[in-house]
Amino acid sequence: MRTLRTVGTAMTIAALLTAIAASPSDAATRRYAPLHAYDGLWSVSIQTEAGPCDPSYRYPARIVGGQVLQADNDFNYQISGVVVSNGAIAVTVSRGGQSATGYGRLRGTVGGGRWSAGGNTCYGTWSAMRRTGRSAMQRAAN
Amino acid sequence: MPDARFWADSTADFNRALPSQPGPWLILSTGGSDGAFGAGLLNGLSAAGNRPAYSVVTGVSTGALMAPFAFAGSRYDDALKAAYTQISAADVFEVGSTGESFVDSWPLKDLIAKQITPALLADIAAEHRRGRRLFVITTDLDAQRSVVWNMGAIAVHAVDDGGDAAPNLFRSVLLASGSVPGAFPPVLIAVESNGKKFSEMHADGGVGGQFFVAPLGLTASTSGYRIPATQLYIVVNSGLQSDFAVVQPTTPSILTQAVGMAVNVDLRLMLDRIYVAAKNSGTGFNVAAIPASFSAPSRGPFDPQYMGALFSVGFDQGRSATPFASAPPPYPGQPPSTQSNDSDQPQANDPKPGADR
Repeated sequence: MRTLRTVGTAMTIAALLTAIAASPSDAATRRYAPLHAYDGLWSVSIQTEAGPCDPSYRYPARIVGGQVLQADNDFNYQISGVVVSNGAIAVTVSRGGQSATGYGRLRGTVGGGRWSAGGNTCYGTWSAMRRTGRSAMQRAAN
Repeated sequence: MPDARFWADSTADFNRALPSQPGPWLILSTGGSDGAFGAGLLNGLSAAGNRPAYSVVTGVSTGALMAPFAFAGSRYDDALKAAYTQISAADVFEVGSTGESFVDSWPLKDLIAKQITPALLADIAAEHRRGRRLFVITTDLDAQRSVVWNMGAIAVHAVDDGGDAAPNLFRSVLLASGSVPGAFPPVLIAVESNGKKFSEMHADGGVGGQFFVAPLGLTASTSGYRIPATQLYIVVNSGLQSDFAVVQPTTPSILTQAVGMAVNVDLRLMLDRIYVAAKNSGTGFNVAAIPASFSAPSRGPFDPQYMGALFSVGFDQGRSATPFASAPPPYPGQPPSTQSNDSDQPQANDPKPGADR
């Protein structure tokens, strides 16, 4: 059942961001943060509400200047996306032939939203938390 | 903390660490998310009023993670249940190679920190002072030897000494015991010996055996040692039969299936060995494992639905009239008498290669 294919990532992200960022209530009431306010390491927890996808997973992601990037060199998955100054975010995660697109919002050190994959074959929620960087394992001996 | 640990092959240290009086021992095996079975079984035993205060509790890997709750008693049954039914993969690991492992286990580290509360440590310390013992096993990769951690003694230090050192050690030991090499990063534990500081690299206790009863030198078939337990209750957080699965051509899938088979073989051999040792000791042998009839599908690692179903199966078994078997389950095609010389002859019910397909 895990035959979900990558959708038009760039188009989806653009469409989602347009929809989120153009919200009149947002425009009227929110003071937008600098684009670099979200820069750093994040951890994203993905929960499946329905569909034959894995029930949950957690991925690291790095944000640099509004671009959501893979945070490590693991070739088993890819992550990409964008975040704009009001925190609206759209991200695509691809792994093992599966691909899911999420959208939502970051606020301060946390975030959350919804995701779906392959024509709503699977869908659910995601949440994110800002992390400090992982230091390399070092062995003390003296 | 000189009393915090000893080598698992040290018979003298083991005997020194034991309670002064024989009693029932609870042995909790490896098994990953299948630890939901053991959590359910213990809850079921409580519900049936059939759960003694085990004088010794030992835990390896997932067995180590449930051991503190099991040791502290039935009042922690809800916490034990939550630990295996209200978590998912996102609470255990984060995808992405760390350089030491396929995934990062910082979520599990955080989870353990929440579970091992000061109140739980105080309760464990109190039981240790009453003479009961809680042992958790890790693997010292440098030494290629298993280590037994006297968790009750560490809990006593946590209560008496104050500060973070003892609680952090307690939690690090649990994390290490559940850190399958290659999958999860090993855990560095700072030690000091002869005035020198050193960080030992510890990994999953299952590397040295799927459960721990006593040093192997004591339970060897040629040993005259008598296990000082009235009863052994071994909870195997795994099925004891082969599980057919079409293996995906990925490194994790191949390793999972291959290691799973090795673990299964190890479990069976260890059960056989301990059965004989218990018999020679006049100690009751009791074993519970996931029944072969359990077939709930798992949609991925640490699937909450799968773990919930497994917890229920364990609970029902624990509450039943016969939660434990008195002998290891027979191998397929095993003759009824172990004295028979016909074991090399094919049996009518021997599984045929490819039969599962």
